[in-house]
Amino acid sequence: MTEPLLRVDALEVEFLTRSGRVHAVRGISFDMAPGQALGLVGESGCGKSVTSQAIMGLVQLPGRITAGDVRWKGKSLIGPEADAYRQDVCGRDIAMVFQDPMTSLDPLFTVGDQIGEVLVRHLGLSPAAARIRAIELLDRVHIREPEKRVDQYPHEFSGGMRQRVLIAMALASEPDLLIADEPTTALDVTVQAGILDLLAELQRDLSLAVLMITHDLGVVARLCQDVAVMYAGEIVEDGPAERMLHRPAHPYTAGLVSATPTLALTRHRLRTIDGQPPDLRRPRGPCSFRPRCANAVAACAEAPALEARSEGAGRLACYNPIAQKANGAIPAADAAPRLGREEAPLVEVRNLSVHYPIGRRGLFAKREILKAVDGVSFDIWPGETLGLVGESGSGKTTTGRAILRAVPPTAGSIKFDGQEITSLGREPLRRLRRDMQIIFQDPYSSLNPRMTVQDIVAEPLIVHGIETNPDRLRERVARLLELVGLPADAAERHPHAFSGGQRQRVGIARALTLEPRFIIADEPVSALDVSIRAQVVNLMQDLQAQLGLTYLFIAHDLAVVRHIADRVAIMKAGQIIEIGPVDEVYANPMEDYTRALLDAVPEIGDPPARAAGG
Amino acid sequence: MSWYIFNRLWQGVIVVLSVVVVVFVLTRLIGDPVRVMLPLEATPEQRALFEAQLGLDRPILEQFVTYVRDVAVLDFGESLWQRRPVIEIIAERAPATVLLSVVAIAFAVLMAVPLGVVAALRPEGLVDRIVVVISLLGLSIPQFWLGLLFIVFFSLMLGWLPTSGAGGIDHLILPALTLALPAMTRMVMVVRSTMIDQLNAQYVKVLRAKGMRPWRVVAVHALRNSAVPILTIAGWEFIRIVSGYTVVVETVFAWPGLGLTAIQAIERQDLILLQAIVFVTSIAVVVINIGLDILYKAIDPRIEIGSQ
Amino acid sequence: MSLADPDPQAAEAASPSPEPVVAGGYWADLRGDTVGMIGVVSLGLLFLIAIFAPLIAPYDPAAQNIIARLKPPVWLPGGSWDHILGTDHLGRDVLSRLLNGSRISLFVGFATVLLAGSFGVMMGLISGYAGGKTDQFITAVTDTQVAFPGLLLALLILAVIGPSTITVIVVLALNGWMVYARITRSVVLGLRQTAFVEAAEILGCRTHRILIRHLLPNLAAPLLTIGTLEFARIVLAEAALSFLGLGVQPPATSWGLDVAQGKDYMFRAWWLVTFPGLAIAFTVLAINLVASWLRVTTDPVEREKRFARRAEAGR
Repeated sequence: MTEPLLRVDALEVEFLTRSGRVHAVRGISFDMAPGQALGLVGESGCGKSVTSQAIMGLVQLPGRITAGDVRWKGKSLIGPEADAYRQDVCGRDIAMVFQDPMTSLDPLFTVGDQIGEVLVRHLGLSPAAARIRAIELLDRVHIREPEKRVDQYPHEFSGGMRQRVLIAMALASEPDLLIADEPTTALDVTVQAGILDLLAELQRDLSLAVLMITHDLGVVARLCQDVAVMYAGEIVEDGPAERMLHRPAHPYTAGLVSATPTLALTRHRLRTIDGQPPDLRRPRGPCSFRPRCANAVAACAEAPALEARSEGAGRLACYNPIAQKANGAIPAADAAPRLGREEAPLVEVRNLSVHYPIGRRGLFAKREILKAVDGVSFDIWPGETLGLVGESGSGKTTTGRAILRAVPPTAGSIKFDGQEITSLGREPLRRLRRDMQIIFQDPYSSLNPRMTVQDIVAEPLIVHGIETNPDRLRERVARLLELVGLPADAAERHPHAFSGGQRQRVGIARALTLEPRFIIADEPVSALDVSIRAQVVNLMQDLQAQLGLTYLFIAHDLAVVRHIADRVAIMKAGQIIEIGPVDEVYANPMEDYTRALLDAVPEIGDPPARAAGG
Repeated sequence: MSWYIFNRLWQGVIVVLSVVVVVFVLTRLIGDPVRVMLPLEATPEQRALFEAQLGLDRPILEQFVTYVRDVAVLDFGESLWQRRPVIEIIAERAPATVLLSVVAIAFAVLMAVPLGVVAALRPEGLVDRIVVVISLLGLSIPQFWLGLLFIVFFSLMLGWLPTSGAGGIDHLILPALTLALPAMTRMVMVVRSTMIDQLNAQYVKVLRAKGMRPWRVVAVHALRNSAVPILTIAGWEFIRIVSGYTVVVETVFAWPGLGLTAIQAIERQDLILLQAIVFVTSIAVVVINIGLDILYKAIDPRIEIGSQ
Repeated sequence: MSLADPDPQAAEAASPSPEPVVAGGYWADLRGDTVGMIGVVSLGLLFLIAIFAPLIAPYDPAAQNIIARLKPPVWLPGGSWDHILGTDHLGRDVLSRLLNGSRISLFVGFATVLLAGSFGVMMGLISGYAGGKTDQFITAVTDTQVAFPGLLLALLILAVIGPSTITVIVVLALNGWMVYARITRSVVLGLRQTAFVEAAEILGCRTHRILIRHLLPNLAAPLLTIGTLEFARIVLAEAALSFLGLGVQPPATSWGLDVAQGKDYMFRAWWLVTFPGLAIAFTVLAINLVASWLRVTTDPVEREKRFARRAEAGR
């Protein structure tokens, strides 16, 4: 058998931390052929990024490769004796693109210099020749005016443009394999679509092998012919993308697929994977997915090996795989969107504007004004969910903050329950806080690290002087924690003791403490992993039904919005360009921008490597 | 002229003006210059005469206007102690202080940067631990005492260098070392921690992934990115040397600069000379700061945008 | 989060309970840190000495004894157990002066840090939280004062008002409050951006509650570290001022003053300069050790980094 381009063989990586050894990668093996596009998929902490770094020789202490091998064209890249070979191969034959384009470039050198140094190092070009080639490469990744852009600094580029520069840089050494580690995660959806199209184009035109590391099955569907799914440091299933995404056999793969919201279905419950990922400090024992698995059998007490499937291509590590394709979703009881208009709106926003002065550019220049929100009007009826969707900088978050009066509106009117609130003084505003609350995006920074969950959740009651008796406070907090599905003993712990999903539950409990009628949820699930995201979305829907809440659900993720919202408003450059019932907007968008947004969302249902066709 | 430079110049003007006001308030309103400067046994007539000479019998506002006018043309009056214009004394003594300070800061920077970088290459390694221990010791030794130790060791016991005074290069070495070592130990810690941060930055990971040679990653990319914090601390130390530590070290070594002059002025109760030294030094500090700001801008292309 | 760790999420997911800011209290952490322990114990000892100096000192530090002038320490020829560390040019017992000198050093350091710290923190809190014009004004004042020639201005003040222990404290505090203001402001600005402070605002917390309950506890760690570092700096500054004759005045005792007085006898009686200098260095070193221990201990990211580096270096 001929050696593949890349062979990862029983690779193990561990990290030394104060709290113990973390076995991040637990013996994974896979091959890549020339020109193959493989998606390595998993949730955060599954070891997918560490794997890619191990291939590139970038694992640094406290991490180290403890076992296994990485072979490039038959020769090992691991260990001190492979140093010379690795330095030759990595950066030249294997190139890498990282997740965060904003910090991946050296801010003090022009992009031309940074592309050029690769050419000088690996192809032995002279600096002058390198500059000319750098311009060609910028042109290759579709950066306009490359002759001018080549001499600019990274801060003069947007995030998407920087990622293109980084791709150009990776292509400079004419590599055989491109490793892309979540290359679009930090980018807006339309920018992401552009980058994915570019990668697909390059893969096809240059017959480049691509190893795509991502958490997003939609991205994989767009780009990859093959998929490997990782869980807790191991590959649990791999095979052709078509089969993996539509007929997954491993319960975890199936769970991931069905927990991923799609644009096609409105208002239903997402399937969730219950529980939390395992503690990677524990050594290998039983199947690591067993505690969360509905299909677990007695044999699972011993971890199954990753073996070739009985039928079809690919491998599987499961004793009791799923026989048939699981349904994507369970229809909710109240599947019909609630668009009842018999009552008056709870929130009426008219011509709302929020403008910020920004710094002067020159000594005598006029102060510029940023129109973050520029004349926005909409209503929200009691009991409904309005989704507010837009890309970064569209003004969606500022709109939410202005309704809460957390930022002062420049102009316009906001009525809550018929009362004008833009002119409220300090005390009436404080009373209003009892009716309006917020759930934040980042479950890490939204909880004070120095307070216990008890203190965090009870704080609103104390602040408003509603309850001061410690016993009754404890009782109320306990009830709230139960409501959001947290164990009772959570109250005495600090936020650091919880995972992201659990913290978001604490955040929801805090928002519910004052029994508000209206909640602004600002990207409440975008920082969470797919399986956890589904849990939180379902919780929010349950609470809405149970407590009659009204939501303004702010998000950049159109698919999630489709699942939870009754109506949706699309924002662009501070304005609402389209608003209407979710079904109508998604099925028949009136605006080109809305259509572009919807088209840009990578979906599991997309034909494999769609972009490669055009 | 860019907005950035204009802004910095304007800040400098504010600082100088504030120093003028503070010095004025200190010497005329809070303190009593006559009491400080004349001996206790002076007669009331002598006091009145002295007051009139200094214009202290005028309304306070008029005093201030006169004061500012004089300061603006660097007319600080006549020294009580030496009976000649203060500006002459300053012009005579300042070069010695400038020489000493520049040599000291140059020495400190030349020592601190390589040491800090080497320590940062392997944090908690052997070199790093030695560097950290030395800088902890350096941070803890009183500067005047260090100077005295140097005198005892190098001048008295070994007889290599003169104990004090000014003269050739041999006179410069000990005071410059005394000024440089504590500054160096503080700078080394900053260089080290900045370099550690830079070497852990995402762009360095990308450089490694690009297959760049390690020396290039450290010496070209990380060091240049560390330049602004390193310059900041170097400038800070330079300012501290110029505006304070020279007073101590010049006193220990009897080095005839502005610092020693300031102490002599205090001993001779010559407030006029002292306040002029304070004023001139504050101008020097402002000039150093503006120089640093211009350097920052040369290093970092983002600065124009970063400063509003 | 740049924990030299290629996948920060890996560590996150791996340890669902990363430590609290100080796990198990400061004391537990100290037991694992020899150097920090030495610092804390030494500093504690120094404070005890300062408090009980009059009880443990064999002589009155100001008592002169012309017959026993310039006696060397006990281990040198001519030394005796009467004066363990010898006597100075007025026959005063060096050991007694050292023990009593610790009082001034630590008192001036402590009082100055307290004074400058409380003023600076207040300014920083107001500046960082209020924002707008107030912030601009306080920042401008801070920036301006930072650009002042600090020590020289201090000399001018001391020359005008006349040196004394209290003047020294006031002058050093006037010179030192900006550090606290800057740190506090930058931490507050950082915290203001965080969602938990915004959450407190949206919950309806009043300003004073946000400042005291939500912001201040998060400031404790950086302020403690800065305060300790400043403490060390102040002890040195007091010694320098006293050495120049502009600090503590006789008959009070100060290490800096003792060095200055011993300077003239440096060649005949080296111990007069050496012991007080050592005392200053030892004190400042102890404080610096405590500061560097605090800096790492109160910062979980820093602790994790240090752990990783030690693991690496030990390999």
